[in-house]
Amino acid sequence: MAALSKRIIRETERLVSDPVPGITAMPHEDNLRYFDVTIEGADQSPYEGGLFKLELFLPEDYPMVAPKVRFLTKIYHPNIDRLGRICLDTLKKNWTPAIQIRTLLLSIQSLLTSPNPDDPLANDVAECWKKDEAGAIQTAKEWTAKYAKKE
Amino acid sequence: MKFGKYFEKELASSDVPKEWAENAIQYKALKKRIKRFAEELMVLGLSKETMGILLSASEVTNATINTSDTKVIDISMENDNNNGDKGDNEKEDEEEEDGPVSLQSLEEKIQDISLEGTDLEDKEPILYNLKFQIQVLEDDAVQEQENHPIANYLLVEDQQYVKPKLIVVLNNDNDEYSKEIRQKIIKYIEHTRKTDKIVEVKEDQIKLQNIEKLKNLQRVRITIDLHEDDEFFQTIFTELTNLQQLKIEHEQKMTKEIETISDTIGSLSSPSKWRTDLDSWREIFEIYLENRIFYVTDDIHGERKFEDSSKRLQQFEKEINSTDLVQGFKHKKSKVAYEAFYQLNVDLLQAMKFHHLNKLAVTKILKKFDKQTALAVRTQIPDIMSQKPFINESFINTLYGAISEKLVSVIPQIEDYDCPICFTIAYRPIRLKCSHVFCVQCLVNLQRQKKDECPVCRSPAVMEATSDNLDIELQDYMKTYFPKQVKEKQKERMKTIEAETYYLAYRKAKYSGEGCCIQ
Ligand SMILES: [Zn+2]
Ligand SMILES: [Zn+2]
Repeated sequence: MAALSKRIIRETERLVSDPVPGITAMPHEDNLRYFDVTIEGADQSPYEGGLFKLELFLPEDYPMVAPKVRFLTKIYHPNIDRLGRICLDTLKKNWTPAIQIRTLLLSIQSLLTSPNPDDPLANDVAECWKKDEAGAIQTAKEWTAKYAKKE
Repeated sequence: MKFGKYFEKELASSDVPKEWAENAIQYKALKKRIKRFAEELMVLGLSKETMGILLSASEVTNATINTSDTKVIDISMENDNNNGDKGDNEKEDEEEEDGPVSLQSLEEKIQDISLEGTDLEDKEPILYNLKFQIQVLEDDAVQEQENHPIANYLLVEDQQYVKPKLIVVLNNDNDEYSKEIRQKIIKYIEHTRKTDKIVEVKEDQIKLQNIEKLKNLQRVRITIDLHEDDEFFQTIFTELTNLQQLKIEHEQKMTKEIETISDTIGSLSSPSKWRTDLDSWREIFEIYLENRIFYVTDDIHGERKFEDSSKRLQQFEKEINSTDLVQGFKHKKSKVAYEAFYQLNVDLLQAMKFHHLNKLAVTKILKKFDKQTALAVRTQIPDIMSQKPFINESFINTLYGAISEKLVSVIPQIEDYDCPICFTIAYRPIRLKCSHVFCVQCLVNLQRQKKDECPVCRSPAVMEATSDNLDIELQDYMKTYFPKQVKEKQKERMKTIEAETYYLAYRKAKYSGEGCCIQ
């Protein structure tokens, strides 16, 4: 595997020393391209009080290609599917190599505050969200309480 | 340790320059004043306990008092001025209902009992020059609800200081507190009348009239101008004004110092000169910025902030001493400038401590005031402080900002010239038409992947870039100011080119026939 670029080293240093509020990201000791991430559900969102675990991996071509990110904690959200895959422009066609890990995690955090059922990944969830928003929000809250409990 | 002792000790410590300590809040003297003020109140029957009861009653019935204000009929006014009918009086009172204005205008109308007092050194607080304004209240409705007399303590702002006023409303029935306070005040007035020889006859009559009002057991409102609290607030505000002045002087002096040092460092670090300390200064400032000595976080204040900054300054010094940056300066003047720079930070730290100590002293003394008199001045002070000079530590942040910006910007920081993709110096710098700059290597990478959007602003500008987009001026600047980083980057680039050439050669060998294998 290619040596760690100066960019990855600098990004990691800053993520650890000056973390984004509500977000943590720690690289694995044996693989510095693999990060354990947690994101706190924002206040006044259905995910309030939840702590969501994610995994983030920097491919060899990073930052020319986007990191691979996936939710590990089960979450009820129209843009996140059962496998935790995330439908977010920034991760796909809108990725540019000037975007950093911290900016990306911020986008994911704000996706939790503003779900977008018109651009769904989890179709069934998105359907519910459009048909019965109150009910969907209730389910999201229940899932948060059930699966994303803070220790 | 008691605060007074602690305060004294800290002011005497080496952290506080002597000439500043002289301007510090006179905590001990203020403490004595509070004691004497409490005695003064005692003489009027207003012990701390009584006061507590009176004030708590007033909190509940404040609204009632205000509405009853409109029905106040001021006897002394009626006597002096008979041409105004009652209705007019009511109206006037209504307009002047709340706030300091009404108090001041009332003062003009209502006759004072003014007695010459002896000076402060006299141990008998009973002889101070107190003023009483006594109004008879004619509102039985309110009084029936009240079992207690009620009191209000107001800090009325005037131009320079704060004028304290104590307002006590006494009932006309025989409730215990009203009775006692009434007796004490009568005793006080009579006593001072006897001891005072200078009072004119006319004034004397007015005083008698006031005493009669009190003796008649009418429901009265008494506005009392006490002596010691006046002195207390005057002292504290004078001291705060002095501290403010001192702060402005600090600020001016340090701002000037920052400018001088930054000019010196700038001239010692000129990249065009053969002998330059540019690299050493850059490293020193990198260490300085990393330690974020006076960096403000919201959750750290006061003492802890000082300790925090103090530790960070020590850490900075330690890190500098572990290098030979200062010893290795090419110019002697750089060493002197470094010492001045360090001293500047020490000064800032001292100013921070000094102002914090004084702020603490003010808080503590006001707390003491409230504790010994039951008068809740601390709830009133913040509003007043916002308009008067008060100890504000924000100038530390301003000065720190000035150091970081001015001094440090003399030396260009490498971060400002990094390529936003690879995070190393953007050498050779390719400037796209959207004006964003990338290193040539990253740009070529983008072009190979046919990514036309600028990674920073997404405007389509990548594919059209050619060698014409090389920013020669910026390239020269980088070579001048960051020669080390440029060299490193060039080495990296060579490695990549070698690797790519090797790779292509390998492919050629592999796919263009077995010829080379035979060789
Ligand atoms: Zn680059
Ligand atoms: Zn651009």
